[in-house]
Amino acid sequence: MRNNIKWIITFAAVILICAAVWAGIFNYGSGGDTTAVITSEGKIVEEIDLNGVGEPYEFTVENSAGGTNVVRVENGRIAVVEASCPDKVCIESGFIENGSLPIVCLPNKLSVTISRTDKDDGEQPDIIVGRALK
Amino acid sequence: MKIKFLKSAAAVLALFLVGCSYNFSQNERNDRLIYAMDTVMRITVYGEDSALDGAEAEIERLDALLGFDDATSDISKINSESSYASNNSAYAENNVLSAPGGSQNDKILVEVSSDTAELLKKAFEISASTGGAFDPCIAPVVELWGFYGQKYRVPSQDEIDAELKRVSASGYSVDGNAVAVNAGTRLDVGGIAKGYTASKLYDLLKADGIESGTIYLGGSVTVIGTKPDGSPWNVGVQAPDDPNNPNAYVGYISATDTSIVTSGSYQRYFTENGVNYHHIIDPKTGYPADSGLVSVTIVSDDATLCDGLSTALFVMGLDQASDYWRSAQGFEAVFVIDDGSVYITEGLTDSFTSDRDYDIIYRDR
Repeated sequence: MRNNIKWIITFAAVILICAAVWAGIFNYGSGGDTTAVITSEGKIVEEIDLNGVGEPYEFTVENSAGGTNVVRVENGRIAVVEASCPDKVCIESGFIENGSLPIVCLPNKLSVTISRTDKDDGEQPDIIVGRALK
Repeated sequence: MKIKFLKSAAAVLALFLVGCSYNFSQNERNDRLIYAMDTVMRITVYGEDSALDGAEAEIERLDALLGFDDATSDISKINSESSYASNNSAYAENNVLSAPGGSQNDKILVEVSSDTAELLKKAFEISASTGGAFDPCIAPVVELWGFYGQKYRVPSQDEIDAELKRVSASGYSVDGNAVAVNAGTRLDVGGIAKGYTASKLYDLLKADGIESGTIYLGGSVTVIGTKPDGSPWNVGVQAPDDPNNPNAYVGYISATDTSIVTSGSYQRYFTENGVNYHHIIDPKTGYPADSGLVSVTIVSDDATLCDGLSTALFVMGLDQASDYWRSAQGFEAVFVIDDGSVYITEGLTDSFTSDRDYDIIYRDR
């Protein structure tokens, strides 16, 4: 009987510790965030931790209509460097490294966003008004 | 020994529960990108993701009603009836109303949805109060310049003069769900449809219990409440002289439950023979507005008003726009003129910050 209770308590303690560790990792992951999320036609196609990029690399996103965008990933920043769209606004946006602005290719329905950090970056705005989109 | 063990287990449990309740008290950040109304929209809420489903459905509903290109929208319905009336005298005889007061322009009546009626009422009000500097009937001239579908060209003076005759929303009215416009008119509410949509989304998300969030509709911003930590949202105003630099700002506006919209010549333009032609057409001349302003930012809790006035005040120029602001209520403004200097209206003194020098426009001169 005594043994049973001990086992139950030990088991509960182990689960609690595991849960606490997991929650800690989870919070840590979402705290110092520089995760880039690439969506095509509203669906997430790639998520990249920009702090964990070694050698820069590029990859191509193709949508259902055959439109393509080439995304370049470097340590801490990301850009669209080639695109099949007519206006090339996505390329003109250049590299982004924080969450205040997404890169958007309207014709190909592609977006690249970086989830915001919760750190206070001084005069880094939460959102920007008046950006030209096309 | 056993009691000690139980005590420490209880302590661990208590700590864990405190941690849990702390996490639950924080609303989760959810956001969604939506492509509609010819632009990209991003809605961020601190709260249930399901609130975004409602917002997305509302955008689709309004897009279907208000689209200029969409053949089944209310706007297309008005335009096709107005075009039919101007080309068909039998229709005109049976359906045309004589305007009260014996105006020279007879009107046709078109039934629309309550949303379209509400939006057009607002459009005609803004048009009247700005002396036509904002005009929802400018579509034929905008089309001449190729701003629909990026078929840019510089039209001849004759072409502009011919179309200008059809431009002017003066005397237009909305009675219930019936809209009265001149035969031959072509409406385009693209200039304020995003603002109207933003105000509807704001109401919807508030009703869904969202106390904190941002609504970004193709460059226009509406903020809900404050940030989750209780501080105001910090809204950067894009620098018109460095439009492709995402880190160049005219300044920052701290905002709570507010809409902010910028109209700028840098946002859409084409170049021919070394001359830039931008998309904000002056309804008086039919040419891109040459007012000395390069961007106008309007701050108001009325998103539709923000949208209409940012265009109208851009067309007016700094002096006339300042006088309009003095005579009106319910909005503030940031102006950037072509030499780079910045002016803000008095009401923004406490909420606007900038690294640049700026002047304040006072209500009492």
